[in-house]
Amino acid sequence: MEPFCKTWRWLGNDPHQLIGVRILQIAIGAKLLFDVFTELPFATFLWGPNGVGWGSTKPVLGPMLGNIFDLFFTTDTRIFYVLSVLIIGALWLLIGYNTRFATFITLISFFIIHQRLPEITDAGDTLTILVLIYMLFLLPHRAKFSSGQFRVWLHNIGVLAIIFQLVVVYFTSGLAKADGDWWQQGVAMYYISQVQWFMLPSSHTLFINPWIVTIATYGPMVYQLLFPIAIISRVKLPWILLGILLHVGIAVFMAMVSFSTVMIGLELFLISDQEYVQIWKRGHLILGKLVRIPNASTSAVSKIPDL
Amino acid sequence: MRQIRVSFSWKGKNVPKTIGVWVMNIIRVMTVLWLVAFFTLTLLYTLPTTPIESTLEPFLDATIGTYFDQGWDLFAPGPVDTDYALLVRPLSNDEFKVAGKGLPNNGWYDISSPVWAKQGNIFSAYPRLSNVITQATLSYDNQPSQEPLKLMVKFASAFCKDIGKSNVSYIALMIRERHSVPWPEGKAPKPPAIKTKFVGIYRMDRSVENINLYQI
Repeated sequence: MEPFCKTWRWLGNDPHQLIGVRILQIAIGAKLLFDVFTELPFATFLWGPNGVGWGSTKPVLGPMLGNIFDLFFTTDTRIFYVLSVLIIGALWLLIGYNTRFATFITLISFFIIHQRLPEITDAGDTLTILVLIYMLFLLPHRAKFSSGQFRVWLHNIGVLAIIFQLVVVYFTSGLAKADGDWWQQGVAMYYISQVQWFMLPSSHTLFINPWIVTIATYGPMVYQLLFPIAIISRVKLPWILLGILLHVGIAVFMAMVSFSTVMIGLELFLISDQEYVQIWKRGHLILGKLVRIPNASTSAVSKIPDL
Repeated sequence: MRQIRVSFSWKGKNVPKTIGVWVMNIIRVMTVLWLVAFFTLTLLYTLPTTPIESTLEPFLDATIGTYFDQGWDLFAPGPVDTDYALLVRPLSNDEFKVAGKGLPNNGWYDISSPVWAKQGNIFSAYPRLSNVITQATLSYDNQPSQEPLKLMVKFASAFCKDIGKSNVSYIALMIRERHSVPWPEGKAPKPPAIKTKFVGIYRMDRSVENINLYQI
């Protein structure tokens, strides 16, 4: 009965991860703005009626609603309307303005673009759409709430959904890797690095080194497999730091900046408000000590008797 | 007229309020059940094939697969170890007439490699543009179908317009597979194995938007 009561209180009393939610909103807003502004010069080629886009919203929305949404693909102007809404939504998420409505319009506009040209998307886009759906449950930025409200409960359900989604991503990916021969042999990263599509030319020679290739292959696989346990253990914060470094590496060596931005945002989302406060205090303490060093040396100098 | 207020009470408690609290609690429990059910289905859908997943496949496809489609294999179990490049040969009307006897060996353009080479600028759209052309080429190479073919023809037509060959009538397409060399085990790597696969000759799509990517 005690675990049940504890869970009930955790869900019902106070909203969790408020700082994490804000960081995630910033990460998703930044990712989408980066995507839109870099792809804007190619917008009509990618999504316009005479471009390479061929997809439809019908498989998800059904023929009736899908036909209405597909009208956005019939002229270049309408594509720019959708992109404008996406820019506004992403910008509002970034600055924390009207975040629930911003999440909604971002989700709709990004979904339309995503469906039009599936070939351009990567895992980061799929994850962004899923996370935006869960973010609809979250309390808006700076919302007033009182303990025990139903909206607080829904917020915490949204928080859990985002955490579970991240666990699914890492765990299933780790399990799939563990099933692969090249991953077991520690050479998968060598093969990935030889493909020009995935890796920057500078990394081709790097992954011929046996030490680097083995660590780079086993590292992500072990990280992903242990992720569900690590984030509820004492190594949570170092594990998150490791994940951030992993995604910085992916951004630099695999040119997946927008994917890495979302993943880093999700990693930082896992840190609880109390942990952020502790980190902040420790940071202040360390900074304080650093600042005091010159003072201390000054006082030491003042104690030196005049010669 | 005086209003008569009737209050229901049971064991000294306000009945409508108690019912309201119970209804809210039931809704709260239902949200938790939804969360558990949703992520159980998601896990079953995304995990490698299991007997449960095989049994529930139609249901999983109709729910998670349709509305929350996802797959997190990410370079696993066997990562792609081949570069699939799309090659284009613009053909004039005269060249097209004699193409049945054999295509010319010269004048082929690799339209994938220039986009891959530009990926070095990580703060740009090039990595995602290279997804478009490479995903279509890879998809057609593995299982030929209409959508990737149309995309390849449009991309190749946009390339021809970009390099100033808007007057060509036809384009010949070919896929070049460059297979990674097996792990060298301390030795110097051998040169990669290269294979080409002819796709076909198609009418150039003049209506396609300009890509403004290949201008020299």
